[in-house]
Amino acid sequence: MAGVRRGLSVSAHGLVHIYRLEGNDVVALTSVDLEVPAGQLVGLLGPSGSGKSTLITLLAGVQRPSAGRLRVGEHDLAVMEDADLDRLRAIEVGAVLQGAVRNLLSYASPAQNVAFAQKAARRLGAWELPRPTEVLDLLSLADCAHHRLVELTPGQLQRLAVAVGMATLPGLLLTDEPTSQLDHRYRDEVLQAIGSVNRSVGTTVITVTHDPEVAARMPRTITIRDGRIGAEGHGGEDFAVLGRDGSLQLPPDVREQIPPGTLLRVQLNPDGTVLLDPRPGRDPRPGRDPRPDRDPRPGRPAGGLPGAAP
Amino acid sequence: MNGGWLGLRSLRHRAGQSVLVALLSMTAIAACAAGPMYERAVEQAAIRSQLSHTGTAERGVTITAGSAGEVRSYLPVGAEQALFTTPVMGFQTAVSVTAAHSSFDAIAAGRDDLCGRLRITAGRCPATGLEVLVSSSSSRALNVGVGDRLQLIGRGGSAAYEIGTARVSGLYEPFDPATDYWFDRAYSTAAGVVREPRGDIPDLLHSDALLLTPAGISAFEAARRSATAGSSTPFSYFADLPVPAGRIGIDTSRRLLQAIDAITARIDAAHPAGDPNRGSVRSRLVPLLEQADAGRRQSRAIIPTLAVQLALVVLVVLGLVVAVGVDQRRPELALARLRGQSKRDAAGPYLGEIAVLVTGTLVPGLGLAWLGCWLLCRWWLPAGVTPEWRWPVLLGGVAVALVEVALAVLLARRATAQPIAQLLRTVAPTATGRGAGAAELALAVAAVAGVTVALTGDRNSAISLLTPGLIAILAGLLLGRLALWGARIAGHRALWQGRLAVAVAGLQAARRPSFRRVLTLVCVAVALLVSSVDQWQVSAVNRTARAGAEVGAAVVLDVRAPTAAKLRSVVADADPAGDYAMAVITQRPDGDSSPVLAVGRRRLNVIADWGFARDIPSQALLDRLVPANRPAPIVFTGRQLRLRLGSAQVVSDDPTSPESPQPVSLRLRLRRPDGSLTTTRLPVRAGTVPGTALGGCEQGCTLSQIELVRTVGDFLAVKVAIQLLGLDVSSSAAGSWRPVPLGGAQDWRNAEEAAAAAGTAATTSFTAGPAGGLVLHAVSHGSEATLQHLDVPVNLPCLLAGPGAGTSGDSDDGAAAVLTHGIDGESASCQPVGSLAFLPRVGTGALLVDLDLAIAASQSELTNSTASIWLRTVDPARERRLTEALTAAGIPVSARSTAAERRSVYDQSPPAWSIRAALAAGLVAVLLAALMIVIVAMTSRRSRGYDLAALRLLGLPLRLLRRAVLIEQLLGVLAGVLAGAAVGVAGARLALPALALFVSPSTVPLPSYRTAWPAVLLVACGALALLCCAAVLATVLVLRAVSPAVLREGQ
Repeated sequence: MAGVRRGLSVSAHGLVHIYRLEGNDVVALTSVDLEVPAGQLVGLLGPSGSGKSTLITLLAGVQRPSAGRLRVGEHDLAVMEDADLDRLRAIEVGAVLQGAVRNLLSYASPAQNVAFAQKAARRLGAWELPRPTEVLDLLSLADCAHHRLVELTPGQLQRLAVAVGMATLPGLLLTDEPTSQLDHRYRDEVLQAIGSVNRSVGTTVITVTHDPEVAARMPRTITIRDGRIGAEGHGGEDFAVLGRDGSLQLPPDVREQIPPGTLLRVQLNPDGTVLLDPRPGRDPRPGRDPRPDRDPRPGRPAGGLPGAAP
Repeated sequence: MNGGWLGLRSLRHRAGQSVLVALLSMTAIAACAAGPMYERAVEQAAIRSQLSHTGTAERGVTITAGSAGEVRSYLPVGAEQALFTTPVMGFQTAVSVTAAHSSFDAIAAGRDDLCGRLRITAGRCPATGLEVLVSSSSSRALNVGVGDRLQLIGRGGSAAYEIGTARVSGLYEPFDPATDYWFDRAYSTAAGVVREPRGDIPDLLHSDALLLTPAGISAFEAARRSATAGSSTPFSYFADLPVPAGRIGIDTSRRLLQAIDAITARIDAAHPAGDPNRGSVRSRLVPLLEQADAGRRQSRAIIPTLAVQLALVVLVVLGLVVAVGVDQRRPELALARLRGQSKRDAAGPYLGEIAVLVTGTLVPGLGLAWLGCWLLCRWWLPAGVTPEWRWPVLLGGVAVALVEVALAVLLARRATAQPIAQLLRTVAPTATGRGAGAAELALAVAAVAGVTVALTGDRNSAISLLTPGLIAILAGLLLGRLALWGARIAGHRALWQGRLAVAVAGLQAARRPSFRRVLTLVCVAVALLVSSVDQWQVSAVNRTARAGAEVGAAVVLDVRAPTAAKLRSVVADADPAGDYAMAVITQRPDGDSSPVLAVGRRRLNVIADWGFARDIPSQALLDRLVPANRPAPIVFTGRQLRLRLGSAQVVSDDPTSPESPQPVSLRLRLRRPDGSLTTTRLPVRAGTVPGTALGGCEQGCTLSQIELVRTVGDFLAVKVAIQLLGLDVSSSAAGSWRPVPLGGAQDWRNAEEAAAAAGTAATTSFTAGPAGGLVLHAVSHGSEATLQHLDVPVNLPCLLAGPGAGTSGDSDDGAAAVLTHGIDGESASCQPVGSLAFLPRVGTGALLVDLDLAIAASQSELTNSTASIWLRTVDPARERRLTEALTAAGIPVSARSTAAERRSVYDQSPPAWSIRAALAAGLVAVLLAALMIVIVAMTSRRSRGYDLAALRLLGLPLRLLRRAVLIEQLLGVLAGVLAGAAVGVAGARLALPALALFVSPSTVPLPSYRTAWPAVLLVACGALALLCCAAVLATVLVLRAVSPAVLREGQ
């Protein structure tokens, strides 16, 4: 296939993004550190409002970070000119918005939609672009290249949205909730297509999802909470991530057990494990005993801390 | 992929919106192209109307020279010929005619193709020699028949000469001279003869023209050559060059004037200035075309202004539609930017679509302009005026098309300049009502500047005409801002009060930019319509008022009345109630004297047309025309009159003169019932003066004056004291005598009071006699002394109309008397008793007197006076009966004029045509506003449907949402219409003084700019109804989009 590019790596260091909403500054991302090697398929998890989509828009060059460093391949997005960002989006980064139809011209055929997405790249001189039908073939949509969009199934529409994002065979594909509003059959189709793109083209893929089943299929997941990297999953297992500044986000189930404001004694054991021991005392919340189920044996917490495993 | 095909698919995808944009684009192009097109048509119509309202001779050209050959040498040549119809060569001279039974004067005339143009009722066309045609009416009036011999004497030139005997070869039927051929030469009349009074000698008779063929003309020329008449030629050779009114337009009028100049140049070349044999060219075309130019200038000022206003409205609508279109394409623009397209490239597809639409509508728009103008020409302008394709028309259309594309570029670029993240937002931004856009601010500043210039600068400038539009824009922008603020407050308040429909309506209105835009547009459109209707109605009222005041009444019949008294009598008999017809005598003296209008004071207010009610004088003011305490007239009947005198002393008042006074006599001036005067003279001696026969007093006579008459040649200063014991009348010489009461001394007054005070006339007065009766005292230096009975005042009371009425004279009454003329044309004076703004028909600088007193104070003849009858209404049946009564009384109607005819002349003038264009522009503006309401609903219904569907999911019933949408729509319409109507009225008040209502300014009556409230209210209600219908339609369109499925699909 013409125009095949290698995947692009993604690197973020101390990434901060702040935006204004109704006169107030809102911190969307704070001190995000992230490394995604080229060609990796990454799932981006997290609750609503945690900053996943913001991270995607920053990676797509749609917004600029407020502070920190963000690199896509060799490009430092924080310092790029507008025209360079346009070029980045035109050729090297493909973005798929949430909701398939938002990515498509409703009056154009699948092939025309792909061609529309290639327009800027062609204008910028990227002549070795694949033909629209080749791109559609990549997503198994070659048969409906000239259909009307209303004739496509939801799964086909979403795959078409991915095809549009892949129109120039970019090094980085960003997809936002590509499987939302799809039933299992169509969801599997889409995931399969994304995986296929990742494998066959080598494109780095970062996919935002809420769906645990989708996340479970990703070789690597990154969970964002409150604008920070909260955890990473590898092979079905979640790990807390120690930040560059030494910060550590506890998993939600632990946080439910230990209320905010609790003082923890951090102890590095000789075997390399780290022990977080709450300091005895009153629960900072009024009328609450911080450790009602405290083990009567001295020096032992009531339960183990799953996030503190070695 | 072919981008063009994608663009076409996009157009097809939004077919409704594309059609609307195309329609609006077409309308904008049509509005701008129609402006210069209609303005040109009005200019053409101005010339055509001006020429068609003038006679053939006035708008034609006459070349006169010493011979037919010379005249021919001056005729138009080459391309000049096409401007005229075929020239008619002619000849005429004056002759005195002696026939077998009568003698009369006449014009002997000949023209090309004479017999082909005449209907010969008897005999034949002149063949050879000295033969003439006589009109059939002259034949009857003068008893001249076919075959009669007429002795002709040439009178033209400086001396008479013998022509010879002509034979009447035939009779021709009188013809209408107002044709191109006859060139308004009134050679024939219905009466066949006109009488010229010559005092004591018999009237001079003028017959219709004696018409000649070339053979006859040759005979005249031969006679002239053989005669040794005076030095100047008696013959007039000429060529009449008719100019067809329908063929003269703006371009041809210039060529016409050049052709006249060329004729003059040829005459100059043949005969230098000062040569007595020099020919001449006569034409009134220059002043006529100058007058037409005044109307053209007015239309050039008004119509383009209106066209610009309309084009601006259309462009604003188009701008709003394009803005909505850009809003709709935000997702596409966002996609394009997301896929790496630059800001410029991202807008490309949409601009391509707009360019396709605009280009595609250029020709249809120009066609629409032509069609609209063609219809307006057919409905409003004189026949034959059609729209013309000219460069300004095409430039106007292309300019608007370019502006439309520029507008789209501006709006699309503004959208693509936004951050991609903002473009990707699925929820439309809230209209905060703060921070007016730069375009709005610029518009507001321009409007303020325009209004300031209009109000403080030259009120007659064209910019004043823009005032309604400028104020409307200002008010619309302000209202839009206030409405958002008010809607938000009302919405929140209603929300707290639990009135959900109102709350949803208010809050939805407050967050939608299109609500403010529609409100502004409705306000501007309604303001333009109301303003134009008000201006149209006010101008129509002023045209009616001026026409009525200039004509005098609804109908005015000019009559040939023998005496004013007879006319008054016939009219009074025909209209005893006095509410329909009124006899009027108008004296128009030569020179600088003021015209005098004599009317019945009781009928003037009822019957005359004063234009506006404000100018109608009160009856109390008119009643001042007759003194309140005047004595009753001395009326008696009889055939004999005698005078009873007591003492009669005539003594010299000049002690230095040895002469003795000569006898004096008394002359009584009597007025008969028909208004004619008679006198009777009685010698003065003590005792009873024997009876004197009275002429024509069998039906009653009124004693108006007693004159002391001196012997001819006796200029000795004398003092006279004559005791009048009584005056008796009798039906016969032998009959019994009846005394005639002469009243008291205070009932008489010196008729020459002013002159007596200056010492140039006799002083005279009555005193009460010691034994009853009256004693006449007089001091005379030879002149007569006249005592006038005060049933007719010595100085008639008069009302002065406007400035410059009358010339002040002397008076001992305090207020200076005014020198004027009586209805008999004799010098008189009148006593001003008040003033009026103007008088119907005669205008300002005139005097009004009571007809009864004017008749009593004058002789019966109406020298230089015009007699007419004014009718209050157009009532053919009553008018026919009146005319029959007049004819029966020997008073023929010579002319008839009506206020409606005059009004139609004013209706057919450039100011009227121009203001009609304003009406059309206002109507189009309101239609566009209605269209805009629907367009906004169509284009925004998806997003609004999304909002409403969400509310529906929250549990709000559809019925409530339906009410909310309807309230939101109607709220905007109602507020816009109310504000627009108010602003329109105010704008019209400001613009009207600058609006030319007539080609020539109206001084009588002064224009009235009172708001035409009924028309304004009617139009405002009509606009409200139309826009409410559009609002209901918009509601239906929006509600159709309310479905939970919308939420699932996303926007």
